[in-house]
Amino acid sequence: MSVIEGLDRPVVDGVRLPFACVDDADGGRHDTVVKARAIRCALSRICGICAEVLTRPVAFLGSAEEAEAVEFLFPPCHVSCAEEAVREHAPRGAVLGHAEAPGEWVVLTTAGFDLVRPTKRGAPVAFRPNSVLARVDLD
Amino acid sequence: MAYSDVREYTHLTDEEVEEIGRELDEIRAEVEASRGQADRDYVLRVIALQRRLAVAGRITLFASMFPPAWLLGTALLSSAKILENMEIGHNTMHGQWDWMNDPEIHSSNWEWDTTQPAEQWKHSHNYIHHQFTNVLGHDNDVGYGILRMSRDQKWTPYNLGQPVYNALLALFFEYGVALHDLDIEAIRKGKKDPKLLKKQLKQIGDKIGKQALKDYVLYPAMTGPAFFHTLSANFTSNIVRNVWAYMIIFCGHFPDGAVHFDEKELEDETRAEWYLRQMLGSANFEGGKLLHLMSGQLGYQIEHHLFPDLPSNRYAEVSVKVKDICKRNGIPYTTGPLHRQYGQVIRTIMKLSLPNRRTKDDATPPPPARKGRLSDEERPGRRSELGRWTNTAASV
Repeated sequence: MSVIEGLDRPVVDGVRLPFACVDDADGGRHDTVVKARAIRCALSRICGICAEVLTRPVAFLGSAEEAEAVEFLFPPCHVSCAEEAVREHAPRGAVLGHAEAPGEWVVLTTAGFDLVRPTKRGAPVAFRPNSVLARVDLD
Repeated sequence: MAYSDVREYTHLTDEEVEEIGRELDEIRAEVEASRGQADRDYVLRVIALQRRLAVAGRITLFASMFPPAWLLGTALLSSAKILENMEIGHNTMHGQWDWMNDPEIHSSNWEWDTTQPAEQWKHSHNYIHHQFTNVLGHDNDVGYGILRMSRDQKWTPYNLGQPVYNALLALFFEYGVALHDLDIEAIRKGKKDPKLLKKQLKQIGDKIGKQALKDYVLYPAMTGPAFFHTLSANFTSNIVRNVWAYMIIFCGHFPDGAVHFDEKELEDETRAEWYLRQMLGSANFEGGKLLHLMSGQLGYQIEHHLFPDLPSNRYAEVSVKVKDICKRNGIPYTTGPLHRQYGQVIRTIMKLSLPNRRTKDDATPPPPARKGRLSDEERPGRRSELGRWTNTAASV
């Protein structure tokens, strides 16, 4: 049982915000990853969408460009959460921290990942899968 | 003395700080590029050793009614518990071995032989402690909520009992750690979400129950007539592990030279500034390979804080390069023999049990601040519970 399980996440534009997009005031936007939350997800090893403990393999969800670069904006998540986010929530406007919905959503699964801290103040953190297992392109 | 900005403590220019960051990035990249079979073999060897020690200890305790067998079994079991907690569990939960894609040796799966649930440890340690290292009012490892470890923390008569609290914390450290993620301060102020608190308490209760059942019922029962001897051996092993873990952890951040911080807006620091804060806030200790193994390589605490998710067996080689960077840039690299580092920790605990006016500050004063030091108006407000001023108060 996760200790964070059941914590309320606000609903914005009819869709529950991913945990990583919720700000300190319990608000937030679908197109903005909150940096403190992203760091917390990476270090605490919890899912950026549901906030429960990550399982193996870890999934990263993003655009085809992010998958090519093997560097993602949105924190790690469960494979099931990633798939559900794209199939059920993306059509209703959830963009998982991206400025706009990518043309194609890609899930990269990996055993491990690195947290990439920014080199400039104000810049976001990023995530680099370090042992990629599979790539799934989702329409 | 606490510092409100990492750069306040150093003489470095922005460019020099960024160059240090680049050098540390290169060290990380080198280790990542060479990470492979030799590292995998290392952790598998350590786990095999730990399991042999545990089995040997448990078997020896079948004869625990005989004092030499009790002593040997307790020593073997203590060693196994220390190895499991320090070199295996702690490092696995940091994700140091995730890249192997091993179904068991992975940060999402490992549950360790101590009373704190792994999930709560990954929050209180991996996130709170490693993200807010030595930041007063944020990092609960600064005194574990019961000890005053900095002159910037407000003194109250409660602190007179520090020597006693410290001894109790050492002996029952695993329970102190188990309660770590509850955030006693938030509970006291009524800010803790009751739903979350209830879930955390249940999780802790379940874990303590499992540990007690294992060490104080099942294993003693298996040894039949030696039940109470085995029970006392298991209890002693837990105490030995507790005291050892406490000492190693306290030597990582509280010897002279390790700096405390009080900056509030830490999420916005750059990678290089984060590196610098980790180096200034951590302390190493010196010793042989066995000492480093039994302390989970936390004798290389500075390197661990710089690269918490790199394999622990690489910290020794990394430390040579980090020390060189510190030397070239005039950054303190705090280290010394374990007994000296712990002696300084104990002295700090004793001194800070008294009000500041009764004792002298042992901290090394920082080098003169460089041009561009923050003005009072630019500083973030201090947390009032630290007994420090805020922007508003300062202007009154």
